[in-house]
Amino acid sequence: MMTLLVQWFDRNYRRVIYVLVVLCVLVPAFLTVRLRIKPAGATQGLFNAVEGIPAARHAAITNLEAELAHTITNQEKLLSRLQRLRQHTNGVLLLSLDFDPSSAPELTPQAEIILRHAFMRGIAVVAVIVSTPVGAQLAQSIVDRAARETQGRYGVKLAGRDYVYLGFRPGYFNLIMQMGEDISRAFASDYAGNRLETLPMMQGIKNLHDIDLVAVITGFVGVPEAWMQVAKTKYNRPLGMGMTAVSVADYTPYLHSKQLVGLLPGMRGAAEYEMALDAPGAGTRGMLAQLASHVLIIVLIALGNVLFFLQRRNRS
Amino acid sequence: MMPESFMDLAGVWTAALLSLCVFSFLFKDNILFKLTEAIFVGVSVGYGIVLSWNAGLHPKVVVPLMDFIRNYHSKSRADFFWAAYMLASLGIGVLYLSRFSPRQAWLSRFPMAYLMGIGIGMSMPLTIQTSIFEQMRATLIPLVVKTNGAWDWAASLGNIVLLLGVFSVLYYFFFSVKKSDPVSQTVSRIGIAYLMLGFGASFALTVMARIALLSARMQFLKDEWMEGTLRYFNLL
Repeated sequence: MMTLLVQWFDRNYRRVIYVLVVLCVLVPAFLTVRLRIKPAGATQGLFNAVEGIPAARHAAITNLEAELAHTITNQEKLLSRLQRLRQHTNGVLLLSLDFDPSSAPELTPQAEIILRHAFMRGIAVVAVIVSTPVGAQLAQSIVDRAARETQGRYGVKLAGRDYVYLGFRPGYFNLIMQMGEDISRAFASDYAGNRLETLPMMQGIKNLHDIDLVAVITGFVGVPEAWMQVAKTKYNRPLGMGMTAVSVADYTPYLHSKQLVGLLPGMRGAAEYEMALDAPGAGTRGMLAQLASHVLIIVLIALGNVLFFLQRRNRS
Repeated sequence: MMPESFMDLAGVWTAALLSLCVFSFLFKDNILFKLTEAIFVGVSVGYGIVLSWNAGLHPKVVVPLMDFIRNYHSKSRADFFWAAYMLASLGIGVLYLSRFSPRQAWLSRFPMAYLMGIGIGMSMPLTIQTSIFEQMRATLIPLVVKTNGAWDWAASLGNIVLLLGVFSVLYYFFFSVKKSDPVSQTVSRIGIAYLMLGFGASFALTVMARIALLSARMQFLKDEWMEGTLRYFNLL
């Protein structure tokens, strides 16, 4: 009997592991237990950067006013920039939603919580997708849903006035470079086809210099580098990122070198951000399943190693 | 979440059934999995082509060129140069299609060379600045850190670990000298240990990512498919 059981397990152990993993993921979906999650430094960094956008805009306006008072050259250029900055006193967030449905389960909660945070603080949001046309409609639904869900408590959020979704244009590196000079040259119209010069919100936003924080949520290799090279290195804009957990190890050095203000690692990053904002959502809901599955995988790795050493001892 | 209309419900059911077809691969390879895979590839490519046309080729090339052709008599010399540049770029782009012919495939090297030349020229200084200079600057750190005049042992230890990692891994990848003496071998082994830690972290993060995908799909099947359907028919 025991021998038969061992033989069956040898043939079907993969399926047993699949069933165990599915149970570890499915059972927590029916539970209402909420884990206590403490935001890590990388998450807190991005949270603080979004939270600090209105203060950063206020400081930029004050500095420019002081510069204007002491400068006689370039008055016209400085005045025009001051007018643009005063259009959005709570600041502007540029959110790049560079992912497609294959990484949406990890990245949608990140995008949603950052958008909710920005809308709650009255920050104007310019959303864009530069890497794949496949995610364009998904990104629009995320932005519209976040605006709809926030407007009950924090006032009506209107497309074109409080946020703009520019959609997708090909040629991402060149596109980001163009946005640094003039956003309306890169995107003549928003995703709905409205010309940018007709949108009230875009009157105060000309290029990356008018953006207080760039946040990039991405699951693609190459996209973080492009944003870092253009937005951070060339235009010196504060830059934060949210990524699939797989990519995080590759980009953590940029966090330590302070080229990034924060970095959200996959669904856990979303859960930590939700805790920092005290607004539990999809990220927090997924953490119990993560915990159960991780415990199972640790047990399976330990068991596999024990069996390996036992087999080796028996053979010798 | 409850589907708001019958079409929403149909969409949720389509997504749920396709998800189950994909999961059926865990039991064994089968026709339903292959069918779903083919649908996914076809839909992605079709959707990508239409959006690339709508977002790129149509507004950036077709519309301006058609406008130029319609009103060419009122255009300036600069507009003519722009149109010639646009047509030349379009011609170079069309050479990509020569890949379909084995005899003419060499023509596709021209658009590739054009793109590589521009891409490298634009990104090289920024890449060196972003990924080499800034990263080197981040390793120029003090080994003894003092916070408010007192020795901050945690920060100091962190910096020592970081520097040791950078030097030992770089040394491990330095193949020009035979590492036969005990010091070289020890430093190389430390480098290997750092690399293993890095690979372990990457593997753990990959597991985390995959579990997140599965968890979100299960959540969808439970919330939107099962509960959503029951709510739609007022059974919950």
